[in-house]
Amino acid sequence: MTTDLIRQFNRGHQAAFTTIYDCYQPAIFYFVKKFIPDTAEAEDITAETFIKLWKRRENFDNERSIASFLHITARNASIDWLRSEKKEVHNRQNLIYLLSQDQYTEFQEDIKGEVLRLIKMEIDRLPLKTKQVLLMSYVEGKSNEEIAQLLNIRNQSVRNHKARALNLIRLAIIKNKWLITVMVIL
Amino acid sequence: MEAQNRIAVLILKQLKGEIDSREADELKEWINHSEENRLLFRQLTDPTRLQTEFGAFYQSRTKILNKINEAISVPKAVSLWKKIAVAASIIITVGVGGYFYFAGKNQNQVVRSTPQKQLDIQPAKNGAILTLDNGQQIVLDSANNGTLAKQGNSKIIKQGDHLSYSSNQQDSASEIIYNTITTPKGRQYPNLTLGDGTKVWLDAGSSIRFPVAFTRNERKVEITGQVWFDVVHNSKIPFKVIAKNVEVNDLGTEFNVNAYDDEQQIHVTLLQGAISIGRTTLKPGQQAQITNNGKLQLMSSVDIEEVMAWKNGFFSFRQTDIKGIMRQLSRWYDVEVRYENVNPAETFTGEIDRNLNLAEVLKILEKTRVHFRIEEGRKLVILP
Repeated sequence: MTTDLIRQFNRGHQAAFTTIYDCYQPAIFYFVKKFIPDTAEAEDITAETFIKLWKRRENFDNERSIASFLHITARNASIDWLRSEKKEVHNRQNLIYLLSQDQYTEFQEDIKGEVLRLIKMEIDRLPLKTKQVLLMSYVEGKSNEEIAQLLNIRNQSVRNHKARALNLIRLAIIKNKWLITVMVIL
Repeated sequence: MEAQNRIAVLILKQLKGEIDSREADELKEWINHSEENRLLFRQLTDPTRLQTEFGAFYQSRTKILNKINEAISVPKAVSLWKKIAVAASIIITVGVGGYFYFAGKNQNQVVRSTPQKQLDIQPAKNGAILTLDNGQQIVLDSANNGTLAKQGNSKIIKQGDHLSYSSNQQDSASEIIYNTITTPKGRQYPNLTLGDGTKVWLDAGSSIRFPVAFTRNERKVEITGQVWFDVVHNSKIPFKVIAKNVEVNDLGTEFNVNAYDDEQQIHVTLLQGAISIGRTTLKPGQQAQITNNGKLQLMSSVDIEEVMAWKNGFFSFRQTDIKGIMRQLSRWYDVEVRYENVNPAETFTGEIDRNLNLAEVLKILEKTRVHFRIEEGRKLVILP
């Protein structure tokens, strides 16, 4: 993360904020989710955490301060949520566990978040439309017709983008899995 | 965190098939360290489970980001150009820099500057002015979402940065109603859908005049500046684009027209499908270059990435001279350019992110012995 990026963030550039978001969202989200398995709740808490970061955007002058702010804020928010939902036994257990941990404990979820983040970065290298087509197909399981309609492009273009994505993406695990779908549709 | 990141990198290398034997041993050691590790590794390297995991991750990522954006975007008050422009235009920046990708991808070079205070100007934003049939003008930056106006039988619907015309067919008896969308310098409009479903993207300093509903026998639009089209094909109703003295006939397709008044030629580039200009038919990847006196030259080996760089968020220069570069910057940053004795032979090759502030772009260009100064009132001075 460059100092320029942080300065742009300080000045309120949304694009810089989104870059920072994509850098930390996986770690924060999977950290929260470890203690609050409900996806919607975990998403809310993660969103709140980043909204707080944005509101204080002028106060950060390096990456470390951003990272620790996010971790502490997410941790506190998780603790608050677990306290308010103490009736559930597993929440109580998670609360005790979380309170017993040091702020900087490393969790396995960090690895998962980081791997998924790196995969996303690989996909982000693709040209924009090609990337959209791949995500709609691989992530959302949409058909060529649906994709063509949503992106307002021709059916043939969808096939071209898929072929291009297969050519460019360096992740065999995605390629092979997805190829099966593509082969059927192509 | 360091150790965790190391493992993540190793897992990614494994997924990409780029892991070497030493790294494989390191990863194996971690996997064998605990049952938990083994399970996590399996989860991330099994194609079906990874697809599920990544899908869930990506959907959460988007949902959370939408929630955040909803919360932090300030609802824009009904204000006019000036107000927005002034608020967004001149800010003080301390230290700038950016990435400059040279022609070859392997020669990426990071340019970093020393901190200094200077005037700066932000890049263009999404926005445009819509002129209705009766001359009424609507500033799309600040207009509310929903139906903006009714024109004949068509409704104009705005949704965020997207403007679309409901697809009612024109009553052949009644008169054709025209609307115009204009992007001034410092604004682009990426998301316009015409009544027939054709998609249009306007670069900065451009315009398009079009019928709000198309008749049964012709679809004709007029443009200035640079516009990209993705036309919904209809063999019965040809789609025509008029740019200065050039008429492009679409046979169903995606193409780009660059017809800025201050450029010497009009460039029409075909990306997909087929178009014709006069008697010349273009194949995908070809570009027609037309001079002001109407001479057409067909180029077969144009760099599509370069032509479409603007739409992908880049300035792309291939041995472009300083004036050619400044014409682009002038439109995008809405600045007036003045030259103080410049060597016109100096050319640049490379790509620069269009999201950078002007000072950052200039810093990158300064690598090539030309110097700049930003002055009050959106003025850019080129120094030797």
